[in-house]
Amino acid sequence: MTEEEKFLARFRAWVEENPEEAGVTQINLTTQKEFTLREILEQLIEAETSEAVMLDEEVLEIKEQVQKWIEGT
Amino acid sequence: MADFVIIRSKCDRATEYTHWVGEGMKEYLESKGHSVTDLSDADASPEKVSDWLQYDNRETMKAVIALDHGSLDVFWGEKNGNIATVIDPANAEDLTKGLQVYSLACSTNGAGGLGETAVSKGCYSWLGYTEPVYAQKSRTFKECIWSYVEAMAEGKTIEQCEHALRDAYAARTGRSFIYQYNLDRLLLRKSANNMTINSHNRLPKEIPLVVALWEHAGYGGRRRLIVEDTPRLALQDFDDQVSAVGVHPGPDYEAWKAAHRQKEPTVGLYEHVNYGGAALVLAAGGYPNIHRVYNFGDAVSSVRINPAPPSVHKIAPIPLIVELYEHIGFAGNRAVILEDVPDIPRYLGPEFDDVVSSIRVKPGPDYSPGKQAQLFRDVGYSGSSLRLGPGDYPNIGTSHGFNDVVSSIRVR
Repeated sequence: MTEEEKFLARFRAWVEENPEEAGVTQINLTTQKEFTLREILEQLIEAETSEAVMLDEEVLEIKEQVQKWIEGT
Repeated sequence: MADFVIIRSKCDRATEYTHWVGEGMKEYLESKGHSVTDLSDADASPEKVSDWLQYDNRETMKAVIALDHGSLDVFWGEKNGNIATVIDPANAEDLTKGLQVYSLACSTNGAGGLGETAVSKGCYSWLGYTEPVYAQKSRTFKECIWSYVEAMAEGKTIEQCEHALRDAYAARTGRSFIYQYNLDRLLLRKSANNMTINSHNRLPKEIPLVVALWEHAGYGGRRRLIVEDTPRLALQDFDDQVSAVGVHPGPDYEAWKAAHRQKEPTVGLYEHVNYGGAALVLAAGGYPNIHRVYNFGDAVSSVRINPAPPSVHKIAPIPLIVELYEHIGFAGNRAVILEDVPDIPRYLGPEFDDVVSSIRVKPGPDYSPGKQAQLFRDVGYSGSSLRLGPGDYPNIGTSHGFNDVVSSIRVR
């Protein structure tokens, strides 16, 4: 299992264990990017399984923060 | 009790979140006994924020809760539905000196940024974030942000307030990455330790009176407490709404009287902003219905503590009082001159142009021996002149060869 796969597995587990929190809409006040953690997970999985999907910079920034957070929990 | 100012525009998706965080905050703080101004949505304009925070003319205990857009150099508000600069390095001293500020906005506390500038210019404290921040529309997030406000409202030190917010963030890090993220970027800049909004805040120089303005007769409805000159009650959402007034002795009431020969301090209520229009001046006491008797209900737009008496031109000193008569023997039109007059027909009217035939000169309250009036043949104190000390001069034609020629006069 790659590091990326390990991260996605942990992130997926968190989303499944915290369905309510995973569905809360959040926003970056500067970029105004709105998202839920469930949406971010879905986009990451889609990008992982399909080479045709490219993640935009804002999602990559959120992914980086989620990664640090998941690894710290 | 402090006077909180909440600044929260609502002009895009991001500010819908920060605006929502501030919903109910005014009512909460008021329930704790504080006075609160909620500059919400279009009221979070540069003009209104500036007017409220201006240091010189609106010194009062204030704490600022800034829920809005931010960047390294600017705290943004709203103008015509768009974001607009409200605090920047150029006005930071004027607007934030002597204040405790909490800013839920991006990046204002970065290195060399607005928070640092503000504190270097006299802002007591600036708690904000060093980079962009995240927000949620959730009770969890709102309670987290409010922890700082609640601690401040309870009079805790700024450090305790900061710790309350850090603890609140830390307690929620399992709920989303944004809590840890914001926590890592939270920074308190301060000018001293152990300050509170009660111990370190803008203070009025003195409070001789506390003026309670009531919405309804009989001291009912909403209330505003005023302890300082207030040029625009509209900023407190109280324009033309005063029906009853309580003028209470303030903490400096006796000291003020002692310093002013036991004169009673007063408050002036004005019909228009900036102390314009009709005025109602009241001393300490209860005025349960200013519609009656005073006919001033729902008409107050500005308030001034200890208004100056109406501005009048003071004529002083008066060394001589000169009576000018049209005819000899002190007959005909008469005019009394107390000050220098460079153009008598212009000052008294054309009927006094070159008509003076008799004069009385009397010592005035500021007379000194030797003082004389000087009458001139022409306007502008020019032409030949005649000097007259105190006395009666029934015919200045025969006595001095000066009949019907006086056009200007000096009496000082």
